[in-house]
Amino acid sequence: MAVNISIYSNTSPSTKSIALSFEGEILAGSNTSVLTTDIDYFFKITTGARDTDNVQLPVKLMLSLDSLALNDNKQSATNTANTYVDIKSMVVDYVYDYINGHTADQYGSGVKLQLPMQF
Amino acid sequence: MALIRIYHEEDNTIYTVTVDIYNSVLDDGDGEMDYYLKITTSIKKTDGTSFPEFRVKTLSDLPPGYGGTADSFTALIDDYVAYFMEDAGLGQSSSSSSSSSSSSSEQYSESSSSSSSEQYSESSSSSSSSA
Repeated sequence: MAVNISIYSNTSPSTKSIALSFEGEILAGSNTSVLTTDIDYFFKITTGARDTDNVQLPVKLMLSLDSLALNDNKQSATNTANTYVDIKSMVVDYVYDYINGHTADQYGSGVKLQLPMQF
Repeated sequence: MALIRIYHEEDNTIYTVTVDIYNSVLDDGDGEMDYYLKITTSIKKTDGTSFPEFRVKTLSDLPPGYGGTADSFTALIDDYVAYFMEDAGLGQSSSSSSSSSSSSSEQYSESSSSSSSEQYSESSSSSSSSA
């Protein structure tokens, strides 16, 4: 089961959706610095929404409350490197990032450009 | 949803720990919508009673007896699984833990038709431990 978050636009009649789930899987990819067969538990955000250039928005994984939205270095809504205080604040910041996007290296995070969500 | 399956040899039973994300307003005083994990298990305590549901909002919401803060969701879930197993005595190899046959509906037996789908149903012939 996942939690679905609907996003309504003030300027468009279309609605976008983000799915938040909690998973237990073996991870193989950039989130695992050392490839292991251990099962990791993590939050996963997926969406079918696209950015304003019509590019599919990426899947995001959060392995801890210090998995900050901007390259694990900074929160998206604010220029802070503080760990999220709870799951709620983490989800809110990631949803903010999906909607608003971010500039390249925003707040010195080293993150790549991500355009806002297309409605 | 994350589903952890724990096979207990003495009982020939697969227990489960289920972790899933929810959002609702919790009775925590602020009236705000929360996002949290709900952790449940089919494991029974040694007295046969069920474990409560645990609602986790932060990495500091560890199981009873566990202090501090987990450094990841993996560490958090591992702590809960360890807590359930330890508190239920699943790690004990003596016959004491396996004798609690009346406590759980999750055990494997031919007659337990009312039990959940998590039973280790097809394994009776392959259970070498009883030899």
